[in-house]
Amino acid sequence: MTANSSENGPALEARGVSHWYKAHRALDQVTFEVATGSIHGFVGPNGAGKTTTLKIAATLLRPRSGTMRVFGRDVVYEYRHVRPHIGFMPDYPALYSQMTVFELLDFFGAAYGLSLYVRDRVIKDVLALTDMEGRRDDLIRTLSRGMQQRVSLARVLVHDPDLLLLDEPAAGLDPRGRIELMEVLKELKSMGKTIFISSHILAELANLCDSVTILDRGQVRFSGAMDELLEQRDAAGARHVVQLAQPHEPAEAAVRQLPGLLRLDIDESRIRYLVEVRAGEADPNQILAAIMKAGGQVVAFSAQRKGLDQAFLDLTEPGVPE
Amino acid sequence: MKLRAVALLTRALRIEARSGWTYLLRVGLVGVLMLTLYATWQGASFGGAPGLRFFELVMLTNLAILTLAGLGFFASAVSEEREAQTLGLLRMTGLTPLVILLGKSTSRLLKAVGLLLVQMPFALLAVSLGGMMPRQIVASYIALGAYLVLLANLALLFSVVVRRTYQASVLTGAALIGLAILCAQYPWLSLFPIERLDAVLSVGWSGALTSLQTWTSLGVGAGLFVLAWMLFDLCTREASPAGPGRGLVPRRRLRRLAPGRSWSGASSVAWKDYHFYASGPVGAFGVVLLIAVACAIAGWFLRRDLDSWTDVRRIFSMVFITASAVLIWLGAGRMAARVLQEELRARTLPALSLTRLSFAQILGNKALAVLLATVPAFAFLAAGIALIAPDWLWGMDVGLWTALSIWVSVLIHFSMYLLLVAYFALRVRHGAVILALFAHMLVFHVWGLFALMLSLPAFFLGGPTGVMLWSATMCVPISALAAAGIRRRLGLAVAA
Repeated sequence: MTANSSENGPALEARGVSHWYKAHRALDQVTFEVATGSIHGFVGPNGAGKTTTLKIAATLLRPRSGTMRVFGRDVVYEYRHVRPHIGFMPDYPALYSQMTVFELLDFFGAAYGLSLYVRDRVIKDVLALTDMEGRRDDLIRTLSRGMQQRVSLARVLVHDPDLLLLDEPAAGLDPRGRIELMEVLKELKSMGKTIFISSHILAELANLCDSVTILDRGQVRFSGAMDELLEQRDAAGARHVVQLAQPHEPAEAAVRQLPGLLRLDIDESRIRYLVEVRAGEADPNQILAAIMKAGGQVVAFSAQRKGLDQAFLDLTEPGVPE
Repeated sequence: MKLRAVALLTRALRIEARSGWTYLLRVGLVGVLMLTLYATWQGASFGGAPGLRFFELVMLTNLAILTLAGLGFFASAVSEEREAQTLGLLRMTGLTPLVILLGKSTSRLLKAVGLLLVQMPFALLAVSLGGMMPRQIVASYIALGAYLVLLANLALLFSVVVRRTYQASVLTGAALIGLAILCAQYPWLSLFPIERLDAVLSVGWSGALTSLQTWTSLGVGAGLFVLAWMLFDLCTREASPAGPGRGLVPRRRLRRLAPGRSWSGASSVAWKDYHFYASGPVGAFGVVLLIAVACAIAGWFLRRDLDSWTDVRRIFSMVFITASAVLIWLGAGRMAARVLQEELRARTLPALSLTRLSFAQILGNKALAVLLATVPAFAFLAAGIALIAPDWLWGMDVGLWTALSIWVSVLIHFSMYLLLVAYFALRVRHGAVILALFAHMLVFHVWGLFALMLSLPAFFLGGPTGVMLWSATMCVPISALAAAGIRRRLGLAVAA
């Protein structure tokens, strides 16, 4: 049961998964799929049920109803087969603070049954991947939160899992650390790993993920390809950014005359226009043609898609869930 | 200002009032008293003054519980705030060191006093039983109260000076031993209540309610509090790093004693626990050092009695057996508490359970680590028994089966004790060892009587077999319950 052998099926598959803690319903008929070899974002407000879903996928929690499968294996009844193929990184640094980085990775390598030789090689590789080679002999308790996150990721990778379940891996990382983490995740994807990542940093997820599931109040609001989600958001109107060489009033007037114009924002320098037109009524060529016909000199033109954050706001309800 | 001065105390008292453990502990103590009363009533026909004998037993129990509490309960007063990284926040609220110290130590002191007060109605029964005067009861409690003040402030001082509760507990224990030696050398330095209780609890005593011990203990206790107050700013300036420290485990220096590479497979858990919770070979060396110090002290005090090789053998065997027994029970208990408690605190159990190891393998290897940590103490115990064997075993003509039965019984009790420690460690933050000792005592007194009846037929088979079966009947069900409780708690922790 490796990622290669199950290329036809999804890496993670949830069907009607429900879970509740006493009176609180954490998950309600959650259904989604994560394609093998993809990066799948998992977003939702606090208390939406993301961590509960991740724990079920990690075989740590039994769902009250429904099924969840990892590479075709049931996470409840076949958890022994599932566990070697998953790497779960919780939203807190679950580390032995009195150990050095090397001792920790060596311990987990041994617990996963790796031989001394394999451990040496793997530890070297994961430390290089997470850029922690220079800190291998440092005590974990002396590392910053960001460094501890890196060690957590290295720990998850020690046994070379096919599916990575990452719960808020960017929490506590500085901007550089976040960018580097995204690069590491892209590299892991290129190595054939499937990544299921929960995060609140939506802009970075939009660039990173192939697909996404939006969860709110225990229910799936959207699950599918990232492009599909963003296009869906664009269905009402299309946004374009136009930059002129210099301010030009006739061009401005021409844009205002465009059919189906929903919005026109012009910046203070009066050379940058944000044009939003109703879908199907004015295409980019018409916008460009109108400006150029009015004598405006266009130096840059691009389509602006609505971001994941807008999609997130559109699909989720405001307020704290009860 | 007045409110601020008692803010911490009020908070502690509220927490205590809401905690079910407070009441459970009090009920448990009353249960022990009732059993002591029952035991006294049973033995009333063997001697006079049953009230006096009952009260003697109560006082001895109190002394033991308070001393153990001093090591765990009082020693965590300030260090628990440092471990939880909340001491800085307390300081930011404008609370002065004096208010913090008063709030933290007074609440604990009141809790302990509460445990003593709850006994009063039962203690007064001693008067009805005969052989005791109310004055003796009051004088005894005064002696005990003064000792409590000394103990609480000694532990408070170490709780301020060091960063970790465990270190404070060890230092308090060491300081108590040191004070005991000092008091033995200089009898005028009367700090411990044993002699005072011995005097008060004699038939027909009618002395003063207070004694030198009362004032010395109170005076030294107050001095220790002032010292803790003076050192507070100096010692708590630096915040403690989160998570447990590495302790004595070497890293770069003393490479030969460092943990080295992890053992393979399931035994990696034993490697981790043995090296990082018991300090590995350095910890073993520490045990050897402790017993050596105990031998040296015993040798110094008893140097005049060491006339022959037989005397040397007897005395050192006693030191070996006593010191190693204490180290095994306390050391193994602390280790059994840590191996699970630390996993819960660091929230590492989910990561551990996702490895190839089953729950049984993880727990089995944790038990192995506990045993490894006690190997040096067991070696000294064996040495002590070997030294005394020519006089004792051979002289008593103890058969192999009897010796084996005794050992099996001890092991059954020891296993139950460790399971109780592990269970309590998952329920309380500090004092699991003390609670386990207390629970063991309860099991022995309460359930032991029923177990005795259940295993009565076995006694007809023969003494040693009967004792073994009695121990099994008494301990196995409780051990099974504790194991089930541990399993449930760990299951919840994995999913939490």
